[in-house]
Amino acid sequence: MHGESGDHVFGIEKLDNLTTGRMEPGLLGLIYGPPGTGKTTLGSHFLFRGASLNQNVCLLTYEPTSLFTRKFQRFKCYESSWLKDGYISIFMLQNLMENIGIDPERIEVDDLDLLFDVMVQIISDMDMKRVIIDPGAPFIDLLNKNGRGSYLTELKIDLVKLNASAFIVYDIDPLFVNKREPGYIPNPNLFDVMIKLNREDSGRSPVNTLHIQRWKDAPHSRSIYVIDMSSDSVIMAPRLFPSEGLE
Amino acid sequence: MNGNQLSNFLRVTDEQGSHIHVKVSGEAFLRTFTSLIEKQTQVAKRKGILISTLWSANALSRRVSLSNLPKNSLRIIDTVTMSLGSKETEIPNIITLPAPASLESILIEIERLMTEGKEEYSFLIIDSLGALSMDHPHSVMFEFFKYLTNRLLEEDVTFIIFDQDLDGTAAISRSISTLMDHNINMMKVEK
Repeated sequence: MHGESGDHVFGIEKLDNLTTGRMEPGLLGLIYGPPGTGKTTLGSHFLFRGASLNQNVCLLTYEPTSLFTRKFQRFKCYESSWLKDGYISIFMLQNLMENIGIDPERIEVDDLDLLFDVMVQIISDMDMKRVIIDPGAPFIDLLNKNGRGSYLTELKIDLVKLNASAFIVYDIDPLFVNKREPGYIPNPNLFDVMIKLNREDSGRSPVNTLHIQRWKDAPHSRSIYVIDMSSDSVIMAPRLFPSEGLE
Repeated sequence: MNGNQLSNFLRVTDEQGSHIHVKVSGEAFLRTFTSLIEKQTQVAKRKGILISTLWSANALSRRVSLSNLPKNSLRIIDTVTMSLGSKETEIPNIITLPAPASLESILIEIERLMTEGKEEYSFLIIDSLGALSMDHPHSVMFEFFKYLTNRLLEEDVTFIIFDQDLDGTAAISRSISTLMDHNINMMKVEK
């Protein structure tokens, strides 16, 4: 059964209809896929949905804040008052580190402990209900490199306590640029929700696809969908595959 | 095809939300096709979508006097122009798909038109089952039609598929007939 409209995760009717579960507080999700497949767009919709419900939401990013502000402004559904009125907050992680005395170029384990505590404090003090970490790959790499991969588990526990939900937007690395295995995703068992975006050759024109691989404790569609995301709209249709044995 | 067959067919298409699979070819197809579009747009004052799989928009405008149709009454999803490398048309309301157009890209455009909310469309026409099914396996075609018929039923949109009964389309023709409200064969008399 559907939750009330406030529980809709993305505010994209077709996508929200694919899962019949409510968005439980404490949800930690992963949106992942190759570059250019719409991960940031989907993450933005997650934030916009929260802001439209008058929730405080935040974006933690390594990219300049102005870049995201410009990205947001392209969306038809975006209201600039969300940023002005403080429903949406954007934190650039490098700035955050510098403000608390961490040198982003020379991070040590203790620095990471402090950074993580500050992030959780921000979510708690500002009563954030939705959080996006985009791009999430450098953040997770940083945790793993310093033997702090378990922080994701701690983040999940904190999210439950704080009645908040978060998605990590993660670029898979098809070209092995960052020396991760192609298609590598971190700690897959940790996430309550896993949404894979991809670019596939349909045999005709290439298409972007969306696949809800996991939605914990909720019935959901496991079909793959063709998705067309623009600043105006998000359109979805089923990906059509030949049935095995019929051809 | 005689006049009775045509008027019976057009009467069936008056039933809002009905799904019709019609076998007709040659001159009779052209007459039926143009009569249907004129009836829906000019007489019934409906707005609709045409998936053009046979003709480019420019070629289509020579078959059907698009300029005589009421403004914005017909949106055309053109799957042909780019594959021919034809000059893009200046006719309004044409959506030209990249070639070769996948069935998914057609579904995306239908979804976009039905959900953008600018117009309420009450009919959808596919001009050729044979041309559409070329290069697509039977099961993929069936999935395409299963999705489409369900979506159109949900929106109460009349759906008309023209089937020229080309070689090799008998299997998909039989399969989709199970999804339709009416299966009309207008080729019987000629045969």
